[in-house]
Amino acid sequence: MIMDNYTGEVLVAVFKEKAGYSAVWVDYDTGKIKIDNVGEDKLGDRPITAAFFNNYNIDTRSLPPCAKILTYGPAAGGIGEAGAFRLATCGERILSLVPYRGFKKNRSMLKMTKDMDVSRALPYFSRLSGQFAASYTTLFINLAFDDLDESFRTLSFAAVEMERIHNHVWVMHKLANDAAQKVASAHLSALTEEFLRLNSIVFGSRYLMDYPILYKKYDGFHDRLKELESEFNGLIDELLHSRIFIDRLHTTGKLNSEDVIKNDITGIPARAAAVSRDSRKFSVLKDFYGDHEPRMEEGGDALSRFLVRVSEVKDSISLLKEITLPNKIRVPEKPSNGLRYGLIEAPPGDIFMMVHVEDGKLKSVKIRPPSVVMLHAFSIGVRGNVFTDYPFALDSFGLYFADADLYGGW
Amino acid sequence: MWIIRGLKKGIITTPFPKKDDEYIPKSYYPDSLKNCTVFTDIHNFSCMGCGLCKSDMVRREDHVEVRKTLSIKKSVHIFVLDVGSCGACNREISLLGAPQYDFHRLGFFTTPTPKHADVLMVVGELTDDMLPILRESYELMPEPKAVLAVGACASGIYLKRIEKEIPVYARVSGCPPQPKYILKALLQLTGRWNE
Repeated sequence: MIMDNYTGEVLVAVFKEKAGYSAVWVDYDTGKIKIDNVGEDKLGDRPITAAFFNNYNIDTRSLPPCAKILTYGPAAGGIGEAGAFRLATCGERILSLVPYRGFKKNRSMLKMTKDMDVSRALPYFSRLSGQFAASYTTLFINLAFDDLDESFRTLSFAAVEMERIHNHVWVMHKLANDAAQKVASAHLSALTEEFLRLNSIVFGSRYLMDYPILYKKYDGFHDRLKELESEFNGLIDELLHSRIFIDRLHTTGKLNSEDVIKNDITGIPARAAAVSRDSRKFSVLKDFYGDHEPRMEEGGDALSRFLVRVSEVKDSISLLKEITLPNKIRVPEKPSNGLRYGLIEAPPGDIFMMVHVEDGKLKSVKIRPPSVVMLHAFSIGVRGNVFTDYPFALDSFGLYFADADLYGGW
Repeated sequence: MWIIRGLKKGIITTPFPKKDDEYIPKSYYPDSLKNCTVFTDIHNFSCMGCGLCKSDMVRREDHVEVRKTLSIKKSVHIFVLDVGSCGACNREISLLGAPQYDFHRLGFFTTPTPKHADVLMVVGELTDDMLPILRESYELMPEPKAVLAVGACASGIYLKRIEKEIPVYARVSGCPPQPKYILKALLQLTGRWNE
């Protein structure tokens, strides 16, 4: 059953304040964002709070006698970055898994923006998370500046959609690699590289960092996009005929709609489990999405997440073909004043950011990155799977520890 | 039908390093570092190419510096250690295996353990939590061994912190550096680069 009429507030973030906590709630039907000042006891039994407080523990009381607990990471090849997991296993069965975050917690990029002129802060926000640079940059500019014109907003929209495409294609490459579909995997990594080169030509950066400053109009954008679209469609048609690939993803890392709702999961895993949670309808770029209908699947497994990504790449390309990139843009200069907050739909799920600007200087920043939610979703979905399912489950969420460790602010 | 698809596509691997590949767009860097508003001690390796300095931004090769080469005749095995990156350098290193670069053709392979590694490739800003892992990874590597610092964080902004712990043989600039120039750094580091 597609639960597109599901109503209810989602707990999106909890931030520690001088006294108590501020809890951020989002109604994904109306787009209404509510922030409550609460004590810890008022958060009830929402499991997602373990992600926000980073106080995950494996409940040893529920484990059978054969269970062994081990830590995997932070330099293990299978993860690919400085992050780890704690696992409880019995033989090859994963009984429980929790993220072990914090190896990148002390990166200074965000802290360096303290009391900084907002006009100087752009490169820092562009580098919070390499894979989602356009989303962070766009959300920050929308919250911290007042003078955004139409040409800048169009460019932002294009950058965010190009980011969605290259991230989704990269996830598909990883999943094909996990399934030992080496030829398909090589084609998809080649396609990722071509999208990154197009980013570099148009936006001045392969990962869309500093795109508002480096952008230069490229007349061949739409033609090249059409060529890459044709390449993408051909590859996916071929890949979806592979029973080996389909079978390895099917039922792996499964989250059903009840899991999603109980755990306040948003983004791709929610939509792949038939729960319509998509911030594009009310994000800072909402005007560009019109009557956007979130792409959804019902299986809740790695295959469903893959299929949602395929549909989203096709949608993003269609949207990009409709827009005209500006000849030139004016980088916003007029800082906003006061406290502002909002969301943007990054490739795996939404980013929530709260920015306080006074007299042109940053007074506080708070961030809830999408990978925090994805890690939590992965920890639920992977339970009961066996070790060989682990890479499929992990890669299907498109998460990054670099992103997750940004949670919080100053 | 994958074979037919591949044959239709033809060879997409770069002719680099035999000859330069103009098809790969270079990264932007300022034509002068004098106006940097981000760092007081800016240099070629710490420049992120953000454009905030309002200098003219020009497309240019990433900088590669090799202080000491690693004399090795066999295939080179690389252990990649992220000590606190934003994730972009990690992706660029992964793309060395993409058909456009195919670093295996030049004898380079990644390994999941430092015990089998000839080169330690370090990316990111060294965090306190990753410090003991950096030391241990280097200690576990067999001799002869070398360290390549990749990207503006490891090779520039936070290089001194890394050098306090382990010797850095070579470095490549860029935020992130392009796969082509990581490859160039590997070739120079291992004495396989012919001008």
